[in-house]
Amino acid sequence: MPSDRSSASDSKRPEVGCAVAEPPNAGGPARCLAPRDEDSMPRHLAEVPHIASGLSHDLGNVLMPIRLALESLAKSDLPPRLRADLESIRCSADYLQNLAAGLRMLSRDPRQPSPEGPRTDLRGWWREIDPLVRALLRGRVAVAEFSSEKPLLVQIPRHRLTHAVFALLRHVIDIHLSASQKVELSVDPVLHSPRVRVCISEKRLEEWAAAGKPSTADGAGVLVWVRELLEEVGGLLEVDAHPGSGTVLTLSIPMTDPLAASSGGDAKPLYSAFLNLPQTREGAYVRSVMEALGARVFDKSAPPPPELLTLWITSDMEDALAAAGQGGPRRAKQVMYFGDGLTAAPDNVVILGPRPEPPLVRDALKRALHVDCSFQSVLP
Amino acid sequence: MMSAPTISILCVDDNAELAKALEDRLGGEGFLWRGHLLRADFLRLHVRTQCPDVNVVLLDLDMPGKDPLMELNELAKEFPEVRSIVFSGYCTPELLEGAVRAGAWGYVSKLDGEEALIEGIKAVMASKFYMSEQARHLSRTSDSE
Repeated sequence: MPSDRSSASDSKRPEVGCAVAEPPNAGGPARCLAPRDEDSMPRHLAEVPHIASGLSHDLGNVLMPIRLALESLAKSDLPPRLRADLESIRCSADYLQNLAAGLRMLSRDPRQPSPEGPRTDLRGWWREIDPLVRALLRGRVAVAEFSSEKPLLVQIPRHRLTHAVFALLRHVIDIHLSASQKVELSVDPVLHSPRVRVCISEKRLEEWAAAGKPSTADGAGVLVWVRELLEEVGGLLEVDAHPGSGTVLTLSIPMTDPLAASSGGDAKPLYSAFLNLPQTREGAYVRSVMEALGARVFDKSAPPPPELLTLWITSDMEDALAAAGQGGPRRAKQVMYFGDGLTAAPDNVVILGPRPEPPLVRDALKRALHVDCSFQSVLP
Repeated sequence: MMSAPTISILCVDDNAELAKALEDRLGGEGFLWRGHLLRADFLRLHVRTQCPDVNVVLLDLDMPGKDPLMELNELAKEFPEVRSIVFSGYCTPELLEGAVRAGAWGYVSKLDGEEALIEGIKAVMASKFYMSEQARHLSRTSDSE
């Protein structure tokens, strides 16, 4: 449980039996003959993403009312003994919450974007990986202590980092370590260049494995896959292996831009937009998406500054043409018209129709805000 | 001076424990709890007969019975003044856009917690569309193919 964290020095062997037998090549390192339970581990792990989603969802559903009840009780006048008991329950609930969060990360496709955003606070992520490793790898990996006063933001989505580290750990577990060979997961919180490490004592992994072609037939594919995941975000996977001394797999992950990190992800608006839509739910949705995309939104109650805006959204045809520069100065780089009847429009006007579908609205807004050149697109 | 009218809430979630906990939490914020349903099948009937003046419906998506988004779509047509917020443990672009299409005024991921829900209730009652942090991230990053 949370207070009982292992370190490299006191990590325990798995509880399941592990008989050591003579390998086929006499004189080679002792191999671990895996009992039936161990044999089935790779298959079990392969199923993890499929069940992780449901498990994390159900855990979350169970924990939310518990957490709300604990918060409510904490505000009431309680005797010290009961307050201490509540604190113990809260610690256990936090531990399960972290486990649920870790499972959720595993359930997500590492190639897809994360709802948590493109950055990860290593400190919070570390709290999640600990119960996940304990629950799914049955104590075969020791998670080292890591504490940092400040958030350590790295430029990789949370679920991708979880997948990368977990894939490495699975790979290491699959090679059947002997009783004396230990695995430790640690983080080196060096500012500007934090590194996550998987250290395997005594066991030498081949360096070439990291450079081989992806394959499902051997373990090399795992390392290549992890390396590709990291390189997509500017990171690096290094394999340092020496006979007799073991292997260190190091994941170097770039730090987040300090400016973006200090703003907590809500940097000042990148774009400006004027919204001239009826005050309906659809209009409110458009505003909400624009704000999520980082735009400062003006409307009739808050008129825009005179300079050229990024985007002008309107359901008024004359307003659309005027904002596009017909008969006067142009008001915005792009104009988005939520209406019909406009057959000939300047090339900086996008016609979406009176009631466009939500995905169409979102994609059109993203294009209009992120593409800085003019384009013409008459959508059905 | 007149005080602001109390916002009344109806919750639809098959997790009765969660609904009870929300009743306590939202009640503590001054919202009026109008009860909860364990499935969406009879949501419109319940609103029509039991609480036609309800302001906000909190709707889970993963429940037995009728598809909650279908019921939401029909609720939005019959009671356009009711502001519905999807409150789900799942948050994907498809669910978010399905909710928008069905008539939701907000989407709050349960992972964003009850504070986001409280913020969302206040926002939708101020005629703002509300997306909690996870839903906002999805709007930024996902693409429709």
